[in-house]
Amino acid sequence: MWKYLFKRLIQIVITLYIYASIVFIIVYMQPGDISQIYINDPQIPPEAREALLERLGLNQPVHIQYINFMKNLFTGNLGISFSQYPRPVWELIKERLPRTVALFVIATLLYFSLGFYLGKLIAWKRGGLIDYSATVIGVVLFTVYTPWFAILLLWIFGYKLGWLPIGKFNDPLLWRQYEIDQNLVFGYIVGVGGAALLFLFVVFLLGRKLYLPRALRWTIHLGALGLVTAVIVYLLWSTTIGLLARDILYHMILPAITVTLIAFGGTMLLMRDSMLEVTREDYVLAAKAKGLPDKAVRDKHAARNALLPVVTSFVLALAFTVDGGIITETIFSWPGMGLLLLQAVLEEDMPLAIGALVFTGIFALVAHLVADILYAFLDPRIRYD
Amino acid sequence: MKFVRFAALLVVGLLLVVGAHNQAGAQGENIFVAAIHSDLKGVFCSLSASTGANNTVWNFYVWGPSAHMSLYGITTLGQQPFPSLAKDFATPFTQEGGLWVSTVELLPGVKWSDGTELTAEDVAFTFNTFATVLPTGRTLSLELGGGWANPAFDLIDRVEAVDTYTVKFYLKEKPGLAQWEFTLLLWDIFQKKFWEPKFQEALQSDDPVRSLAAIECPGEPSAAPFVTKQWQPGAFAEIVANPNYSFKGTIATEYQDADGNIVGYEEQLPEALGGGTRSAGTTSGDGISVALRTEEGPFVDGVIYSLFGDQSSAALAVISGEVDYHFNPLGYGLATLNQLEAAEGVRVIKNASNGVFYLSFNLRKSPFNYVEFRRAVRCVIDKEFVANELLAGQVIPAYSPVPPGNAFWHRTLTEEEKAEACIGLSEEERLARARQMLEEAGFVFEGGRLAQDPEGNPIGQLELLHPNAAYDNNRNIFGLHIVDRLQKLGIPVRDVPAGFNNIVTLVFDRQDFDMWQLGWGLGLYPDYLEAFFHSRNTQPGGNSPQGGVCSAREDALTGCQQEFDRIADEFLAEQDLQRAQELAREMQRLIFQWAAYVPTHYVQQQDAYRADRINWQGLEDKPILDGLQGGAAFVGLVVKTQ
Amino acid sequence: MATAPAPPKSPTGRHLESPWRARLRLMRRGLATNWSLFWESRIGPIGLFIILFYGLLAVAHPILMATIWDPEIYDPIIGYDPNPGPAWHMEKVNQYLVPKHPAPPSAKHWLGTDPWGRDIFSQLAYSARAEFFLGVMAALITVIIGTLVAAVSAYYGGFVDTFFMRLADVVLLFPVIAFLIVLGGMFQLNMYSLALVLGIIGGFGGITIVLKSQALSIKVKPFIEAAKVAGGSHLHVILRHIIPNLLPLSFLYMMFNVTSAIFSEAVLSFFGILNLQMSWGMMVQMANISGYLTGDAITKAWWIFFPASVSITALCAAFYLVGRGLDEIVNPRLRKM
Repeated sequence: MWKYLFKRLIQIVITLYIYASIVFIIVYMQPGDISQIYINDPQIPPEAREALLERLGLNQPVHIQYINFMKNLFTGNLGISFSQYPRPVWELIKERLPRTVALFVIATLLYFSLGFYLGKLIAWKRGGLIDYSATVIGVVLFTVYTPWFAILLLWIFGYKLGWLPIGKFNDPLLWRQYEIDQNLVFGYIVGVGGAALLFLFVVFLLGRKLYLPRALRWTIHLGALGLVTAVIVYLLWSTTIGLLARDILYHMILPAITVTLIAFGGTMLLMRDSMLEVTREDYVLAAKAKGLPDKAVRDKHAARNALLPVVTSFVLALAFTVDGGIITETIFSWPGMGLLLLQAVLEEDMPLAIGALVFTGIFALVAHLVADILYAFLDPRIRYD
Repeated sequence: MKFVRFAALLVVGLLLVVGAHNQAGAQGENIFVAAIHSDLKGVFCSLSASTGANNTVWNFYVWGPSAHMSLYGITTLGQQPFPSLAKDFATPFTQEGGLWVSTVELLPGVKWSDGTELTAEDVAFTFNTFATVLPTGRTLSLELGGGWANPAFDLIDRVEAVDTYTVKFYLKEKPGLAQWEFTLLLWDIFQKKFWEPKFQEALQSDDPVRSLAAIECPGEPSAAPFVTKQWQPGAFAEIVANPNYSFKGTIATEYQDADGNIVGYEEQLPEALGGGTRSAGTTSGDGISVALRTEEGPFVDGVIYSLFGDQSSAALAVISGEVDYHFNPLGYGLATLNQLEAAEGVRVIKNASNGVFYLSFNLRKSPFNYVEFRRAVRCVIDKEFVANELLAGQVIPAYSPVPPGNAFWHRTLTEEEKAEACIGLSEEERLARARQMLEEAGFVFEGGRLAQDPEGNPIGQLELLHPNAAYDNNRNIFGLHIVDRLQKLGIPVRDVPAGFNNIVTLVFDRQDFDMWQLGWGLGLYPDYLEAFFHSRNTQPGGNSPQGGVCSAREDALTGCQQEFDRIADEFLAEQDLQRAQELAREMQRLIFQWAAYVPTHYVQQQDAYRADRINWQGLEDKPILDGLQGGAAFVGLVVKTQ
Repeated sequence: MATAPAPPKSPTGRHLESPWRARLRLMRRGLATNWSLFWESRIGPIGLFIILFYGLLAVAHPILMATIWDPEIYDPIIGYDPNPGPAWHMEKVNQYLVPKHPAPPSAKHWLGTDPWGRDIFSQLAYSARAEFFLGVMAALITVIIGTLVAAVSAYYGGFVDTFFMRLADVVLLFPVIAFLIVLGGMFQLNMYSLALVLGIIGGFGGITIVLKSQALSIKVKPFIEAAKVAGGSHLHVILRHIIPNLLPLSFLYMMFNVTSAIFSEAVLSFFGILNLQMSWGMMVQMANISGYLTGDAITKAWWIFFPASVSITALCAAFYLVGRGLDEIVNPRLRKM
């Protein structure tokens, strides 16, 4: 196992190098550069443009720029942004990352749960009306033209009905009095949320490992759930940060629901296919022959084993949350990593564009590795050497 | 696995619980909430905000009303320079030794937000710092770039604080209006006490510009109506009223004559500044009436700039009442405009914007080096049709690079010129007239297609670079119209839609093009006429990629370029406003005559705000170049009636 | 190729069929079975129907332009109708000027006009052609590249295999939309170049991994061994044996690739990245920039964006559904027992 890990790590480094180089070449080859912004203003003299090019290192030959870039990259320095001079790229990423992570991790959890549940249902009832209609609805929502769909939902729930806010992630009039950094609050949401999930996961695992009797296990689960809920509710209602966090969560409802609706279809169909394959296995037949109730066979035997590809897909989906849904972020005015990348590219801010892309790449590579290890961990038939 | 479901249930439950959340707004304070739809750049400080590529209009909106005053200001309606921090107009330049000298007296009693007084030390410090020559050989002004870049600082030898309220400027050359009244005297004044240590430290470091641009300074001492407070990136920025704003209570009056032209300006200073009056122009007499009288604020406790994702959601926020005003540099789409105008309590005011969109030619190539060809192209373009029909009245046909909104400098066409431009003719008449022009000049048509120029060179496939539908569909439609008409005329032209960066690269950097369409954002003083048409700016990277005001061929025949160069140089050096106006008008006449630019259209500046909550003491009913958002001091006037 | 030798007489005296006739007969029978399977999936035919509908639309456009439509008015890009119906007027309730464009659907303009006076139905039909072209071209390129790469990787194994699989990893790393935005800035993408780019990226990406595992399972089948023993060259084995058995799965993935190509174009157009004059995505983008997707305006001129949005959704869903329908046939794991 360790040899495999080591080999993979080497491969990751090499892949990253190739990826970063390709990113650099492509971003570099864009016509023009950020200094063209001066051209729109005739009052700025040409010397100023020269000065800017020198300062940003854009007047150096390409191979020098490439070497500098690679050197910086492998010492962990992503450079200084051109369009937000002189803020370091890493600082900009750190500023945007929590917003993206908070929204899209929650959304990913939601749509995977929904997809899992629905996929399980319709696979069991293959060929029926439920299967048929759920598939069509799932597919239509999956392929729906997202910008239009998101605008529509925003219009219905935000504008017409007024239930939810129309975009943005907080309410300035509320926040201005506290002068608390919003990244802190986002970090708080992600941190507390993650801790809660981890705690529940550990409790669940322990419950299974210790082979406790079912009644006791249920009590422990419920107890843990209750405890976590109580703590979260307390934090949200009686601290200032909690107040601000509630504001953010309130603004997060509509984008999260939108993402869930447009994404669950894929997971649902994946789960369905996986279930259908598993259903043909002997142990399912054996379970049915034993006389177990239908639901038990479906949930405890079939679904549990069909979960494997879905779990790996989940880990990968989490990785790509960093990329951020550009569409969601634009329509809901949720400035995250996706918008950062879009703006960086449109404004020809090379270090920022490259930095954001490389960062996403690292994330994805690591997630890929985690997914593979998880796969091996979950399926005893798979071994790496 | 059940835990995933539990997790999901938890999240859903939380969200439901949270859904009972009420939006808590802070009441009690008088806060002006404005919407912006693009975030600030750089770090939160006035210096960084205008540096390099950070210099966006959004930064201007936030830092306009806060942090910095200048020796002169520009009057709101008349758009004329008038003393602000200066007590009176600067003395005319005289020669002392090899240098040109002018003295400026400061108004005593002006305070910074931290309570200290603004003195000549601050002024001298500011100018000497920006004029500092760095090891690269360029001034700090040029090195910082962006809004700080101005060649006027190359002229400064030194600036001295003679006593507490007197400043003496020593310049290497005698400056024209462009450098003096419209640049140096309008420059932001920085507080020496706060900034000198920071500048010293930065100048010692390896990269002074980077160190300076990295300085964060919320709450920077300000002599302006507002002081900056905080910036939450991605969410909002906040500025608060300056309790020590010395000019609060100033009554400003602008006078007009019987024709409505602004002819005079008068200011009554508040007690804190001595209560005197200062004025310029004609303030009384026959036919003179008050055009506008306002009292300077600030009348609000603070301003919040709330960030929205795009123009539409910001407009929606005005309609829903979430914000009081929307900073909107680009004009609304027709549908949004209609909604705003129809909404209760919302008012949209429309003004001329200081910018022009144009078509131009590569004067170095045939057939563009023939003025008859250029005039023929100008003739077939039906700007009124495009503006009023195709673009539903959203743009205004343009005939000069100086927008009519800039009334002092704009030149209107004579009747002959209007006929020359084929204004009012139908499509067939325009095509016939253009054809006639071309044939008389010696162009040869073969089978309806333009085949040869007067020298006998064959005419190949020509290309028009224009903004594509994604970048700006209004300009795309204009470009398509132009190509359509030219093709009907028989000119073999192809339309090449492209993005902004591509057009700029091909035209300005590589100078590899036939015809192109773009636009300019303009300043108040039309020294850009020199920038666009003087022969010294025709090299790659310069602002005259088309090659000046007429082609080399024509210059050899008639001396048109030399004549223009002479007038433009005289204009730049001119110190008398009236004479400068004459010269500017003459330049525009030549530009029209030689048709190197065919200006296509101007756009409107549209300000949407909640008229049921705020007003500008009558300013909003007057015509203002660049609208309310163009005037950095306007927030000093905002009255919130809630 | 040498002509087939005369079929040998069989012991029973009957002539055996020529291999080609046998193949044709089997293919027809296979098609019949597969068609009934496809039909039974019920979602496949829905997709097919929608595809046919838009295909008709695409074909109808040049016909209409050549016959009953006046190009000055109905051209999807530079057309302009000075008289679509009621001229400029003040709307009584709200006192603002209602321009003549965008004009609501009428007999003259079946889906109305856009804010610049161009016929919407014409735009829709014109773009249908472009969307089909884009989708099919991109998918075709992806599938050709993907199949070749998969077959070669599976067959040769070793370094070739690792190289292409790691290349697929790198390609998968790229956040596609972001990457296309960068390319859009660089290359001024129009329909042709976009199809090429999408095709190539897709071709070297995830599809190779999936197809390769399928190719591996084919490679170990006895008939491959037999072919090699019979003296078949590498190229022959790959081309004549591995690839044809990959084709059903390739064809299946082609459907999903068409969906993603059309969808990508629509999203990129929405952000104004592509250098296109007209496509469904551009129609929605232009509606958005003009403010027709905001607030109350969304109901005022629904014909500007609604048909386009629905078309994008419908066509993408259609290909996806066809893909799912084919999945039921092609994917042995999903075969009903």
